[in-house]
Amino acid sequence: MSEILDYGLDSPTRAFLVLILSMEDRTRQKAMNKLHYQKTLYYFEKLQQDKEIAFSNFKYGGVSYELQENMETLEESGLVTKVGTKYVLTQEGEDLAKKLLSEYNEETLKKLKYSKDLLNDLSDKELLFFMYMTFNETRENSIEFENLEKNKERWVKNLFHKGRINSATAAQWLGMSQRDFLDSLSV
Amino acid sequence: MKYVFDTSAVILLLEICDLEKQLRAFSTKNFLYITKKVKEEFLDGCKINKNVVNVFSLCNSVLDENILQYFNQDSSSGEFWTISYSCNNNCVCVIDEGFGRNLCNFLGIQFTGSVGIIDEMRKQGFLSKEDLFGIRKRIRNSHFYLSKELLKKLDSICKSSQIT
Repeated sequence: MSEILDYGLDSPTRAFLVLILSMEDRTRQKAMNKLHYQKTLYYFEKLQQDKEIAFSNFKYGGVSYELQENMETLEESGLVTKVGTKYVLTQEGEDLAKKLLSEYNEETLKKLKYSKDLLNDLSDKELLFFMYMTFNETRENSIEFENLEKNKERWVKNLFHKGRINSATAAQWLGMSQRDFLDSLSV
Repeated sequence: MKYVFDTSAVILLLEICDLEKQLRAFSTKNFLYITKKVKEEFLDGCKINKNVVNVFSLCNSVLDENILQYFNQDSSSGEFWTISYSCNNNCVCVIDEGFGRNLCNFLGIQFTGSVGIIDEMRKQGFLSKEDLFGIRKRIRNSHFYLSKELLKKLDSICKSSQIT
């Protein structure tokens, strides 16, 4: 417990960063880049219906400076290291993540894992499009949404094929009927 | 066995594969359900006699808040009601779309797909070898989307029925 306090992991923001980096996505990858950890934790917060982490809508949608600062602190304290553009836990970080698991209930951890499975292996563009469409309010100051929308059919089909949205959502996003959407897939 | 079907599975089995007669026979040994929302989605743009949908019994699905959060609080899809019913009634979910299958897997809900149902109908003696080849031809000739993985599974069922 003292180690958890020493590293400030009693703060949910910091703890969720360590936990999310300790989990594998559906491609068995743990590493996450900045965009992916930001969006994954945004999605997780929505799933939890919590406001533990403060997010604002900036150029790339919902972003949290609190998360960014905490990630930098984790890096400085040696729990996280950067490999290329991606963040990974060090061995010390992994060991602490194991201790942290017992501090959270199963439901919370399940939702965290679900969020990472849903989003971490998407390309940056697929991820941004998914987030803008799922949480309309995040388009507010967007500099990317307009560009992404020009190729929306491509992003919607990719997300559907990857099992991240269902045909009802896909059809709604493309402004067509569900049957027309399903028919359009085999052409 | 109790099954609750999602819309695309109903379209595939009834409209594309024309299995009304065989499904009626299958329903004498199994419970086949659809939710009100799935019925509406099926009937919207239905290209065949709308009465065929009565091969499925209508079930009363109750809004499940725990499931709703995975649909971004949007209860407008048939898939949401199908998974909710399956989760709360110990019923196998028949779903072909990746999102729903991933969610069932994640929530520990028992699921299969249209191809799984076709295989079960074959095993229980409600589909002949000829029926299976007809089904495969109809699906391949249609514009209806079925993932490559499921098409492959269908091919292997056809192949195994040829051997036996």
